[in-house]
Amino acid sequence: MPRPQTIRPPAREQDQFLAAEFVLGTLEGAERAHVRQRMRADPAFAGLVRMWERRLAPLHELTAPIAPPAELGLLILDDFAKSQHGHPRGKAVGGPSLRPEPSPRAEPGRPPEFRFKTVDHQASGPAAKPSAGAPTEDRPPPPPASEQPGPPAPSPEGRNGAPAENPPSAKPALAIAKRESLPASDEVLRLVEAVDEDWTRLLAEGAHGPAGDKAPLSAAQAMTLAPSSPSSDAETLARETAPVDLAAETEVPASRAAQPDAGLSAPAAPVSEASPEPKEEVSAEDALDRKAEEICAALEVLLPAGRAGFVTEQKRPGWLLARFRRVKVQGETADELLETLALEAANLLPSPPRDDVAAASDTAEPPPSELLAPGLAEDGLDGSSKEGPVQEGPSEAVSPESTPTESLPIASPSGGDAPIEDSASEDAACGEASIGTSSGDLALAPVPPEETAPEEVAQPELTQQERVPEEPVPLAPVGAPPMTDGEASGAVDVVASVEGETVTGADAQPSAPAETEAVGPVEATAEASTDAAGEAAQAEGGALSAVQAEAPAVRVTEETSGERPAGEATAPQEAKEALGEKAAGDVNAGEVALAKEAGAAASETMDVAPVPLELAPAPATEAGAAAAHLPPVPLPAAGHASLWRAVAVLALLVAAGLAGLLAYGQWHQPEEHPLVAILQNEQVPVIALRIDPQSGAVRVHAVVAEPPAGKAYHLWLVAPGAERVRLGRFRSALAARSAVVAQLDPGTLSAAKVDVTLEPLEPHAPDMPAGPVVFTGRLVPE
Amino acid sequence: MISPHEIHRLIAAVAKGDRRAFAELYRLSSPKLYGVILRILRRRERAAQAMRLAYARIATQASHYDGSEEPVCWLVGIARASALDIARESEVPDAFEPFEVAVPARDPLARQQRSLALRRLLGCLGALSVERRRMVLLAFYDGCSRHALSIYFDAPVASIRAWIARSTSEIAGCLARRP
Repeated sequence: MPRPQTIRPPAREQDQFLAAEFVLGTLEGAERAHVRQRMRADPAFAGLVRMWERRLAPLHELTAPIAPPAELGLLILDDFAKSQHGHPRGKAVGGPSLRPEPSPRAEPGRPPEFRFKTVDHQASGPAAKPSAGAPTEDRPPPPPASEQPGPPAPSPEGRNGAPAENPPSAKPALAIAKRESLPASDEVLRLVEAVDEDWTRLLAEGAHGPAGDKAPLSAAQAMTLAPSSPSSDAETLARETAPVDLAAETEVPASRAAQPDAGLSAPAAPVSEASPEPKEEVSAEDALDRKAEEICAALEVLLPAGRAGFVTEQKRPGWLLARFRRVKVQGETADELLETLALEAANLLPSPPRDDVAAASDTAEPPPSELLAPGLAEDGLDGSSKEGPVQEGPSEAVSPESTPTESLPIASPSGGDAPIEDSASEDAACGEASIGTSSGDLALAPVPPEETAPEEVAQPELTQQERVPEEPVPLAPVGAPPMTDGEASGAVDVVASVEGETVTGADAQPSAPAETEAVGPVEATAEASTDAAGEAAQAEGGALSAVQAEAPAVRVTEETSGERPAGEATAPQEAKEALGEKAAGDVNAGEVALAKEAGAAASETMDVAPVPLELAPAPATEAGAAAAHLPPVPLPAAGHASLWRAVAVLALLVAAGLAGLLAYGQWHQPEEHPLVAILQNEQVPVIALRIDPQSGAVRVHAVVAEPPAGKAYHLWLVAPGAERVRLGRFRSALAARSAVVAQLDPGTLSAAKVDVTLEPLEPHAPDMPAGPVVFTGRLVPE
Repeated sequence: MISPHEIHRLIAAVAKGDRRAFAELYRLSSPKLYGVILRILRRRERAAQAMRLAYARIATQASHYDGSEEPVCWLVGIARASALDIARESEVPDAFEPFEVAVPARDPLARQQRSLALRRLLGCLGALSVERRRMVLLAFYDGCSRHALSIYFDAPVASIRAWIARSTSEIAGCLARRP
């Protein structure tokens, strides 16, 4: 719909006036509807309206911005997501048609604040002082869901724990239902609150944590406008705030320059470092992480699809832990948190591959004293070492079972695994992503057809071995139930969907990225009897592909959930096996040295695999096989630690410098446009043209005879190596902004030619001049 | 301040169905648009309705946005139109308390200086008589209908109509004059 950008023939006075009134808003309802109709029928009139919009719109600069309630944002994003999916309910998107149901009721309980003098004041009042400590009881009832009351909260369902068999199928459905029906921020809030007591307790018994000044969140806060106090604003400036209050356990966020949150994942690191620590402290810390994970998982469900994945992606417990600690310490409301999340969701890129390398290096080294990527490494260990106690994994492995059990009295084996797997899956996602870039592709490829494609030496052996893991399985279940208890609380939904690859991910993480693929086959073969095998493989493949796409975690979950149903029958078993393997993986992680050795050995020859078989049932062989596939990965990674750190610091500096430069540029940018004169010694028709390559603004002053009625000058840009572009049409002057111009780089632009043709007002072909070139010239730098 | 270019890029991405871009666009523009809408509608639930409508329109019309105008103005135009549509949908008694915002939110789209366009427009508005200027601003910011204005200015609707007509034509003439 080309917008008329030129001086158009004088419209009838009345039309002008009608358009102006329409834009001003003085028309009454019926007239307004009439004008809308007319706009649709009469493009010229629509152009008038747009012109008036453009004339008056600058006034918006004087309006006071108001932060909309966070749940409104979620609704809108949800609308968008639905409309993108062609969801039946998304048809409200269709332009002027108003959605009949008053679904967006934000605060039903609120009295109509019609013409309140201090609308905003009131609204932001409660939220502005989050420390007011509104008790849990006076939280207003959650806003009625637009569709159905639905399940009251994700947590109750999750906690009550569905029987082990059905979760794979039941959970995703549940999640979907919630996503549609629940007011998100309230949900988040409830979660935060549910976790609240546990947190305070844990913080109290854990060494660190300003448990004293906790600021309980009330739903009221969440419902109202996010406070706009400077502090909260500052917080929403997500990235800078990263290391806010982690003083106790800050670490150098160097590993991840691209992702500022890396700094936040730092707190987790100490745990992993302190492997020889006594149980309790570790467990406290770990339990906190677990909480963070729960919330994270729940958030994942609540966030509309557009933002999903982000949380999963960010689910390194350290990160969220820090986030939520901030909620508590600084009184950030759930809304703000969501906002921040959304913001980061929008800004973050998929994690850079080197994370994985770093993680690999970490895990590869037995003493993780100087971890490169604290948060990540921690995750990896965590994910791997869930069954730590059973074996002799690193110390923090112990924690997951011990603490969460007390804190949360829920034991649903299936639901329980969820969080773990979930976290693991994300890790896996990260891992696979990076692997994909390096050399993991080949590794993953063999996975699906592992029965069909026995060419690879490693795989047959693996199949033999996985029978071996079955013996360890008894061990695994022992370890499994406790963890399940712990996690069951919040995370359920997301978790349920992910299973197969999570396991693999869990395995993958501890030892090295290389193992991902090795594990895949193992697991697959383990389930070979059932059809699940194929799925697992599939799931993993899906995971990989998803990872390579933009939003890694989301798709992972989606796809797996989709594929799950078939495997349900075997699900419990499968899960157990998975756990067993995980356990194996832990052993692996614990005995990294051994694995490394094996890997080294394996790297020399492909057939080494059998040997590790004897050494240790599964893990060693895995490692060996993995190494056979990707010998070089873990080794170089270790050496790159300091390099990456240096790179990160450098990037940080550069970013800071750029920011400064930009700020400087903003301040000194003159708002006025410079004046230009064209001097001539005789009166010649001339067209003065000015193009701003930055903004794509095009200004034309024509000192020429007006074109005959029904015709107009059309302005063309003929850049070398590019299509000719119609910049606009005019009769005496033109001011337009062209996206095309803005996209061209200044170099080509300065070599471009500009033509003016005389054509009918409405061009026939959009990009072919229909009339003679009457003026021509070159662009030169001013 | 976010550059218009960036907003334009986001709009283009939204036209392609990019959710991330939409989320980002929402994040950037929602304070501004909500401010505009809430001022016109004054009631949160209606404002929420209008916001949804506005963003739905933004999503659908994004592909038509050709960058020929300031992107924020484009967004605001849609938001205002949506708010007005909602406002005119049902009859609500008019009242004229000034709209006050105790603590304005942080607006990513805020600019440090008033734009040239705004200054020109203000210059033109300044040329109107006080009453007529007020009328235009009331209509623009508060979405007052003719009827509401006639109450406010205690004048028959027909005169209001005539005044607005004269005001707008003067504004148009003033803006058309090259500075």
